[in-house]
Amino acid sequence: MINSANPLKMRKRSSLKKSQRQFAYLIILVPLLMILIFRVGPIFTSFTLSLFRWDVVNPPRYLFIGNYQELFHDRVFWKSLINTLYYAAGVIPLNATIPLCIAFIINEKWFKGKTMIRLIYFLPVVISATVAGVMWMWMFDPLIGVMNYLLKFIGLGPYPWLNDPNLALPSVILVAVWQGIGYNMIIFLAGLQGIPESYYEMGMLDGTNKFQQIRYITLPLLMPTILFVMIFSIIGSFKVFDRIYIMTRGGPANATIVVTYYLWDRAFAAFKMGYACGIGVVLFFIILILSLFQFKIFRLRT
Amino acid sequence: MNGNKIDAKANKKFLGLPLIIRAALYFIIVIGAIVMVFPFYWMLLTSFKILGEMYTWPPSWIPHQFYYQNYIEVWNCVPLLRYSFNSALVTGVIILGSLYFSSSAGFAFAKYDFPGKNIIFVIFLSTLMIPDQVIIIPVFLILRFLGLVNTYFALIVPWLISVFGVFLFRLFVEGLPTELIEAARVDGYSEIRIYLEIVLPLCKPVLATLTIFLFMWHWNSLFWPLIVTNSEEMRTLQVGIASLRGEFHIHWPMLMAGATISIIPVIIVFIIFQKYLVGGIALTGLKGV
Repeated sequence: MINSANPLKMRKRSSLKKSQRQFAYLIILVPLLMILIFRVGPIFTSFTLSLFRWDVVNPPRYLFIGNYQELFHDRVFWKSLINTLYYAAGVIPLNATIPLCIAFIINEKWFKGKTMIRLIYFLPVVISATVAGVMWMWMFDPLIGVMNYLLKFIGLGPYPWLNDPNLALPSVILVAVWQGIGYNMIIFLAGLQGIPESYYEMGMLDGTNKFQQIRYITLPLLMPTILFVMIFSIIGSFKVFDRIYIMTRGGPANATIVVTYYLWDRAFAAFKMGYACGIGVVLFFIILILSLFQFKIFRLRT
Repeated sequence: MNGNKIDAKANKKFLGLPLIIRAALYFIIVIGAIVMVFPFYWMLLTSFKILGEMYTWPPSWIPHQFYYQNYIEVWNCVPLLRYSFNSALVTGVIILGSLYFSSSAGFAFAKYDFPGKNIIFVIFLSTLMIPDQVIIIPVFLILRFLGLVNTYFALIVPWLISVFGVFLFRLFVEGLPTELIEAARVDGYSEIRIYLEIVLPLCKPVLATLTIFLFMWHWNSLFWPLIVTNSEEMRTLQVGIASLRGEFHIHWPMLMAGATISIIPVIIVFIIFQKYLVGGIALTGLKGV
């Protein structure tokens, strides 16, 4: 600091600063351009296109909010929204409580083989929804699938699984839960390990038992993590596509059609680009609102 | 010593669960583990069955003979090698590009001051909330306009930048001591050398974490490759499996053989890098961005 009075050194420092600035601009330029071209630009294009009717071949026609009006009266769109909510409502509670319980148990000191169990529960997470989908489709086969075979032992079934409009979405939810447990388990385990031992020791002095300990110490301290996981799962549920595409293609009778699948279907099967962009814009706002919640919780957590 | 003893006693009295409950909890966890593994077993089992054996009821739990012919047939019927090559190329280039762009941009955000930094950062931040499904139509239309649909360019370039990666690196590099960089400057290191020789080597854990995340996302992704490829030579493994599902709807053993082949790389990478994957999830709590 004393040296900064020296004009020669100061000049040297400022020229250094300039070269540093140039270097920073240099390395940020390409990422910034890519963000503008492939993320920011498309979002504005999506908004604009949603005001047009365009089948890619003929010139686009300006409709103003025509697409949104049509969307509002589109039964299939509402069906897709309801199905997405149904999917989220099915997946999220199960994918929060089951991993939480598993994390509680394997985090106990007496539990041996924690690493192995963690590895096994994580296996379904690393494979694609596509492969998981075909695996389960085969197990769900109504005639020769192993699910009906196994359920027969406890006196249930046979069920038509994916072929039945009422059972198809619950079947997909089952696969989503199977694939999601390991991931949330890891987050909860990290959350549990972040709770200082001293809290439990204090509780011990007060004579709490195991269940009181979970109820009054662990759960309140883990609440931000639980909320975070839930919001994240909701956002994930709104993005679900692969699983639906591979297992049901939205069927039978639109029983499993979800928002992203409908968007894909309108854009790349019906070639209604403007209309599909309209669906995208609605999806964008839903996820935006959820993300703002998420950021708030993330702030709480850190 | 005495205190420890009392602690241990208290522990036993208040927190030690009875053996019977422990056993029950173990039982639940093991049942759960079986549920996790069973679909894998069933896939593997089916892939070694002769088509006829598949229809026997009750289903056999061990194949009568290991009919590895399914693997050869699926390998010959569909260009699995080509699909795998495409997946590997696309995933590999995306990983390398993302690692470079994320680490350099993250470094710039963490350790440099330049006019407009905050605005640029907000632009990056805002894109975190944009779901892929919303931007793919315009991106597809741009690529179509440029005549680039069904090329590696289309499969790779839109995903070369990972905003998630930029944030991960920014977070990590911010934690590195600035004195280290200052000292290097005093020693006459150029900015590029500081980035390459000082910052990057210290970032190894983040590089590993991001690599495994990107590998999982892009190796497993179906949505974009499905949209942007329309010929067999350009398909990635996931699109290939999805099309196999259509073509061989009945031929489950072959489909299972193809699916088994497709998960081998991801399982291997997972087992090697699991430490970083688990650490990364714990650190960020973030899933596919």
